[in-house]
Amino acid sequence: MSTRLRQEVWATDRCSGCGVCVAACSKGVLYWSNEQHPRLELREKVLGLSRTVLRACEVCEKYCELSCPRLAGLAPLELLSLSSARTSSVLRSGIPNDVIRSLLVAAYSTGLIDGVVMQDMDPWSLKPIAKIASSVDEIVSGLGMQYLWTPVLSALNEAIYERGLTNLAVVGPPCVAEGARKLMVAETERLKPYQDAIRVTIATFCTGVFMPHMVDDFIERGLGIGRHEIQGLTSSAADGSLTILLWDGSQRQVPLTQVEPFTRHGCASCDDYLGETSDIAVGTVGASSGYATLITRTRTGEAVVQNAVRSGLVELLDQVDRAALDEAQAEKDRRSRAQAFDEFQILMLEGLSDPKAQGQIRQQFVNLYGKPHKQKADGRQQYVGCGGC
Amino acid sequence: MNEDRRLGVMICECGDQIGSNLDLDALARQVDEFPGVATTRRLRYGCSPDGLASMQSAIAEEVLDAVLVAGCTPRTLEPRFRTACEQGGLDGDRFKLVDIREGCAWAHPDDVEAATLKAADLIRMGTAELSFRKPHSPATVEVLPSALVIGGSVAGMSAALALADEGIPVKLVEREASMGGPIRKTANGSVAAMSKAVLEHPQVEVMLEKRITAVTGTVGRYSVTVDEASSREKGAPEFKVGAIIVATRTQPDIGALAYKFGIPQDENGFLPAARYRLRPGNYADRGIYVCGAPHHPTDEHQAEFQGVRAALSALGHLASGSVANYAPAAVVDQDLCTGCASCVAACPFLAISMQSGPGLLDVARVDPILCSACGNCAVACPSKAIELPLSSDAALFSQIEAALVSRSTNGQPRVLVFGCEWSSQVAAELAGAHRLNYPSGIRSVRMECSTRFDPTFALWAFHHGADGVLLTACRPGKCHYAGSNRNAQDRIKTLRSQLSASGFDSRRLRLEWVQPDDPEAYVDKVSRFSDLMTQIPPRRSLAE
Repeated sequence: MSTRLRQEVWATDRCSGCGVCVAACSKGVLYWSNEQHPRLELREKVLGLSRTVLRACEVCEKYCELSCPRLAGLAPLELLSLSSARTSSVLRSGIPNDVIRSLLVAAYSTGLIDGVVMQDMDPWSLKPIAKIASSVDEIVSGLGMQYLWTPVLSALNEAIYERGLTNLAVVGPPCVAEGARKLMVAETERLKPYQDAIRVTIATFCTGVFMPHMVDDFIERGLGIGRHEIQGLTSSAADGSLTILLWDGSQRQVPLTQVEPFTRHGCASCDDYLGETSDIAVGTVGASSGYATLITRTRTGEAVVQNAVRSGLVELLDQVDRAALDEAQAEKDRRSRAQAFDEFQILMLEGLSDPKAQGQIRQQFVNLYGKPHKQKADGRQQYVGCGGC
Repeated sequence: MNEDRRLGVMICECGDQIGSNLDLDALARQVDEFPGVATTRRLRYGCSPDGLASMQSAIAEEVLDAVLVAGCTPRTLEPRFRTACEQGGLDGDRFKLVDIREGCAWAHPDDVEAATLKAADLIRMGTAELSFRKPHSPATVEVLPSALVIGGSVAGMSAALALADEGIPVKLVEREASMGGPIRKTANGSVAAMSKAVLEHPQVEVMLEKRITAVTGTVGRYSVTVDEASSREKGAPEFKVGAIIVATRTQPDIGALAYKFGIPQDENGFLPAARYRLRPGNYADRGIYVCGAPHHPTDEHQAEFQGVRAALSALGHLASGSVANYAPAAVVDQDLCTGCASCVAACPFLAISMQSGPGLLDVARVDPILCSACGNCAVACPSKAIELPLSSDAALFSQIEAALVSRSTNGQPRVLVFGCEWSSQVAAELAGAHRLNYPSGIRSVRMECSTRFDPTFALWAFHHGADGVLLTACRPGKCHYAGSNRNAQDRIKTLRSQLSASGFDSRRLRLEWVQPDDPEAYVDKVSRFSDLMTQIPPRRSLAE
């Protein structure tokens, strides 16, 4: 039963929207309705005129809680290699999406992977979608990650069970990589199909994704640009702007500060900017001009990158602005403070039925809010928590 | 917080209105023991010249840095006491009036002990809150004496002419090559004549075939950028104006402008006359006015009239020279901000925007001119990086503790009421004034708006032994902060389900809509809630 998920992730607005719980749920009762967290499907049994609500979300192995990256995060993986990368085709592009596409094409062409679960954007509706690509054409034709939210991992079941793909790459923001990693390291036989299929995770650097209604509210209403005029969106944290490419060849640049009000709530307490549990992470922070920063954290990731270099699709440069990356790391504290407030609320809820938690709650309160005003109990009045011993 | 604060408590007897129903000797003895209290004085009539002089001499003699007056409701005489404090050399924000007349002496006339107990608790809450206050100064901004009219409609032209005739430099931006659109005639002549008058007016600069691309800045000082694509000039022309009059004709333009200025649109896309309860007739931003077609389809007479009316409203604003905001505006701690922009979406007054920060993350900034200090951003902020100088989290937590620290409530359930300043507090005071009885175990925490209610407050109250927590708010549609009471409703709903899931009786938490002019209903609601607390199974004491 998804009690902890509901209490500690959904109610506190911490859900990252990676979609791993929806994929992993053994009962298949979780679904998305385009909101800040998944919903529980209400199932009814209809017998004659009677309707009974079924207790569908019960008696299970709680794969949702096991896999949720927000309930228990994974420790960051050690950094294995750090370099600047760009594609070596005629384009010589350092745009992270292009570098990722080249890595994937190389891996696919050499048979390392047979499919990709990735974020993409439907060019017709400009709605972000979770896409399963199982050919070079499908890999290169997509627009790639646009920093609009979509539950990427919700597509895992289709890729694995319906299409029967066995060597998958998962591409998405850091939370998606972490959700996939949690499936991979889970110690239960029942999640083996996922563990056998997911081979490599690629994360993009991310400080937060935007809710898809940003396109309606901000671009269409605010800027007066119709959906049909837009070819694609790219956002870059490095220069702090969102670029809207139009079909007429022109482009409009708006500061990201104007788009940020559409940030997904769950991103507020996420401190994984650099894809710390992914095999490979790609982004703009710290890169030399015309390049993307490329981080590998596992042997697998290293192999995929080397494979792309050998295939002549990606070239590396041993030059990265480490200071910029360290600066990004230094800002983790802000977000971990946000986590501490969520945890404090959960601690207080649990503490309502557990008198032993009182001291811990008091301590955590002082850590977060500072020392409270001294309340002297006078005469017959005493602290409520005091048993008078 | 300053531990060695010197606080003076003045207990007003209000003739014998307070003294006859409270044991003031016992109360003064108790108050003397409160932390930080340097002196306790009793005033026969606090608001009389003698009483105020006695308070001022106490400030000087005892070197007080904060004063709490326990007496009548702050609604009537607070300004008088506050002014007296300021004359006595104290910052006005370091003064607080605590209501022990309507709230204690009048509300519980039959039970001196309970009323005195409640008065002591209220004063304790007040002293706790005072020690966390941070004095603020009002934000002011100079109003530029110029105006922008968007749209060369009949309404726009008449507004431009009305302003220009008063000597205000006006810029009029029109998308088409000529003004007036399809209309040929006005009430007093032809549109052509009107547009000629506008074009030839020395105070009006007409910018044809241009579009507004960006408006930044704040009330009284807007920076406006117009379209550079059509002008083919590099370095987009940017100018500053003090007021903006929206008089566009076409729907898509209205939508984009409404979004930019945060003006609500009705179901047909028009901009209805705003129904802000605090500033009727105005929009979220005080320097923005709307006339003509954006309101509703208008004929030329109506359009001309509306143009003049908007110009006159704008003129009042432009002539004021500067605008000030006395609300204690929220402040973002830029070192703690996580750049999630939750507050931007949470602010009903569009006062918060994101700005690039020193590092990877952008940070939020509150415009002190626009902030109304409702507190929604402080609750929405996941890292508690936003503080209200006169209503910080720390101040509210310490009030909650102070309200619940005393063990005895004379057998009454310990109910903490979080009360909205505009509804529940008024109703409670009226209940006292009408001598309506309600349970004396109730302690009320004053809030600007129910949207200031953070679920953590309720949890903290339960941890400090509260039997029940009641949040009272203005009825839906009656909120003074642009419908923020809906947030309170959502938060209570979420917290109730969280409480049930944690095995805690969620009936102990409740939201009630209260009307300020209906004290009977208020008394009924709090009494019923208090009674319910005695009926449901007792909480397992945390001390066990």
